Order: sequence, then structure tokens, then C-alpha cells
Amino acid sequence: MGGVGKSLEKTYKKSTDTKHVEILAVLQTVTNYPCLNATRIAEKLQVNPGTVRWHLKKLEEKHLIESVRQGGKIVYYTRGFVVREDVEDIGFLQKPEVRILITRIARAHGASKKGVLDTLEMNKPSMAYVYIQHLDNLVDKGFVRVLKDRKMNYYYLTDKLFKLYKKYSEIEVKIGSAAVRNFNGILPELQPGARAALEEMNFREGGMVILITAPFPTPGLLAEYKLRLNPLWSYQEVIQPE
Amino acid sequence: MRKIKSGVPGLDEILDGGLNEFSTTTVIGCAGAGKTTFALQFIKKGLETGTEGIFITLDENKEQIIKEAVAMGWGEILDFLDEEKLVFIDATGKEFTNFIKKELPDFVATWRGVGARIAIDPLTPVIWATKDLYEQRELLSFLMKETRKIGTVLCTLEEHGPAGNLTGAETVLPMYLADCVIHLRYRPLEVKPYRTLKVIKYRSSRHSENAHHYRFLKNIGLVVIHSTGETFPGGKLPEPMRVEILRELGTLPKEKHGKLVKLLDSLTMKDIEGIELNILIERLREYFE
Repeated sequence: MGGVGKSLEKTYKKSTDTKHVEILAVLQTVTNYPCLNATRIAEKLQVNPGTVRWHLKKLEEKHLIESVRQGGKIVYYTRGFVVREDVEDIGFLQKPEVRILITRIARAHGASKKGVLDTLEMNKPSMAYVYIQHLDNLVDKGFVRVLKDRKMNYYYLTDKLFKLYKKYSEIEVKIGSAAVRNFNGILPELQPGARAALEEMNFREGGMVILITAPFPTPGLLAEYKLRLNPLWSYQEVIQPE
Repeated sequence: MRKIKSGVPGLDEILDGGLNEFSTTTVIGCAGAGKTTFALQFIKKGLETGTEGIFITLDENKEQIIKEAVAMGWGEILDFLDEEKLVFIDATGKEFTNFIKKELPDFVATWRGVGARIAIDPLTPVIWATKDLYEQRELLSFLMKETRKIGTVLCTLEEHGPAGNLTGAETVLPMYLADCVIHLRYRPLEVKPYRTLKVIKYRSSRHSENAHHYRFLKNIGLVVIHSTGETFPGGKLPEPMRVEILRELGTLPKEKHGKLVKLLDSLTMKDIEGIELNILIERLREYFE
């Protein structure tokens, strides 16, 4: 039998092919940062948005990810990790300014509008407008409520927000703790798309990916495996429901 | 186990006939010791005997190594490359690590037992691709276990720290995991530089325990020159000694006697060097009783 060397060369080239590596990076980003659009995924990866769109299309064809049109933009998430009805909320809560606002309100539970906005660093006057808009949106969506006392408005986080966190914490605990037990053991518990995505990435990272890709890892898990923090999760640390 | 020629003149004798087929060998040495040359000679011998060669290079690029091989007087390397009998793979530590984890098992499943010669030069970047010691060990053990299913593997390893110090993590791990470890000791900074080669371990084979001088010869590469007065593997036991042992242990039952004769046939003078005859007889008696 001949040709073992040539075959190895071919296999090796395939494994180091940039396209192959890129598509996995896109999949990992969609999993780590659910509900972003192609442009923002491209920003995170510092790749051409066209390339990202092409990979997203391929991933969607293989049912590894799903997309939904939302306010004129198409956002993506890994199948099985995000419940479709929450896509809009998670997409909104992912915005950096919204995250900052929630963190501030959580720190000073019952802060006034002035109190919330004063602590923010605003380089441009237009930023104040963006924050006020987002604060109003938070109230509209029911994540923050306003209590009026004479002429002052005081802001509080609502149960709706905590319930959303709790819901995803439970998904995470299920995925996370199962992962600690045994990676293979959890596979049947997941939807097929998420399963394929996990298997794919797990090979690449030598078994640790599942913990990274759990959408809301608990501090314990992160500490145990010295993993980086999921950005969606980061404000959960600050907010403790009363 | 079948022995195959190592490609280094004089080395096969030290290794009791050559390298075991389907095993992994690690060659350790500092800069200038001749690790890459060793690997090239190993691949060359295989190609000359009709075995395919795979040279995985992690430091230098393919062209550089081919150039060196041609300069070494091995012009035929170009023919082997044309015929695709020899393949070079330019790898980096991280990429190769990914390859090992992801693609290697499938690849091995397809090509198991084909009997190619594989050289990995050097292995050090693969070890350094992960920081975690446990992961390093797992990865290396997996690499060695899997690749030797395809053929005979030779990895080279850089020696870090003071010359002759083999206690660093990047040398200790592969030494434990490989089937055969050959240490190329080179002291370039002495007034009169000298090079010696020593077999540190060799699973399921005899090997010389001495250090042997080696030299670079033009158009050949590494050549081992035996240290004075040493013969290896040494001749068979002289007849009078054989007769004496058989007479002393004459009371053994027939079946055990057969085993003893077989053992005496396989022993060489080298094996029993420095053991007094009466002590040898005592030990054999204890073993067979």
C-alpha cells in the first residue's frame, strides 16, 4: 500500500486551512455572543463581514445555527442555546450601553435618573442621548421599573429581568454540570444542532469547549476551569435579586 | 519484533540489530549534535529499502532541509520527492497539536500497519503548544501510541539547560513515553569538542550501555565509532563455561533443563560481563528452582 505520506499531507493541509479555521471561529462567536448580527460578529473576529456572512450561511444550511430578523437586522444564535422567543431580549441586553446601565442600576438599587447617568463616563454629549434612549427602552421592555416620588424618578430592576437570568442559569447549570460529569453524557440532552456544534468545537479545543460555550457559566465553573467570562453573563455577577 | 536498520552506520550493532518496527524512538541532543541529520539518515534508509518516508518539520522549512540533504550528498532525495515516496510537512506546534487531536485517529485508522518511516523534527514545539503538564503528557502519549501504528517513528528533541542535563519537563516526558531513547551528547565548548552517543533505554531489546563516539563523515552523516576494547553484542558463551553451568545445574527436571539450554543459547558474553561464574550459577539455580 502506498501514498501514506501524500495522504497525510492532504489531511494536514485541510486541518490548517484558513476557511476551516474561520468557520469554526464564527460558530464559536455565535455561541459565545448570541443574537449578534453579521457585522458585529465580523467586528469581534476582525474579519471581513462578507466572509462572516458566507460562513453564517453555510452554518445555517447545516442547521448548526439559526437566525431571526429583528428590527431590520438578522441576528444569529446557536441552536439549542437560546430560546427563540428570548432572542430579541437577549440581543437587546447584549448591547454594551445597556449592560452598563443595568450594572449601574443594580449597584444603586433605587437610583434616580440623574444618579444613574451621572456615574457614566460620557465623552460626547450625544452619548447621553443614547443612554437615555436605552434607559427608556429598558423601562418599555419591563426590565426596569420607575417609581415616581414627587418630581423625582427612581429606577429599579424588575422580576422579569431576574427571571430571564434564572432561566438561562438553569440551562447553563444543566449543560455545565453535565459537562463536568461527562461530555458525552450530555449530548443526548441537547438538540441535534447544538450537539453537532459542540462536538465539532470540542475536538478543536480538546474537550474544554463545552464549558466555554455554556451560555451562562457560573463563577464556580469558570474558576474551576480558569475560563474567560461570557460577556452576556457578566452583569449577573453584580445583580443579586432581593 | 522485526528490527529495521536505523540508517546510522555502527548504530544498529549497539541496538542489537536496529530499531524495532512500529516503535517510537526519541533522539535527544543539543544544537549541533546532529538530530536533523540523524532523522534524515533514518528516512533515507527507509526509502532505499522501499519504505515510504514522512518528514514532519516544525522548525526549519522544507526547502532548507532538502538543501541540506543534497549538500550531505543525498541527491536522490529529489527523485523520492518527485515519486511522492517522501513527503515533507511544514508544521507549527499549535497547528500540529490540533491535527493530532482532531485528525490523527481517523488517519491512523486508514493507514494502520502500512509501515512508513515518520520523522518529527523537533518534537519540542508540540510539547510547548500547551502549558499544562498533564495535557502535554496526554498529548504526547496519544501521539506516540497512534503514530507507531502507522510505522516506525523517530522524534528529535532539543536538550535545554546545561549539556547532558535531561531533567527538564520537555525531555523527561518523551523519555518516559518513547520506546527507545538515544542521547547525542555534544560538548562544543570544550578545548577539544567531542561527541558521544548513548542508548538510554530500549524497550524489548538488548542495547549497549556504553557511550560511543560518533563523528560526521562527509556524504554519509553520522557514523558511530565504538569505544576502545568494546565489542557489542559480544560473542556467545565459550563452550567450557556452558558445560560447567549445565553440569552444576544438572539436577533440573527435563522441562526446565530445556529452558536453561535455550537461555544459555541466547546469552552473550556482553550480558554476563563482570559477573563471576559461581554467582551466575547460584542466580540461575535460584531462578529455576
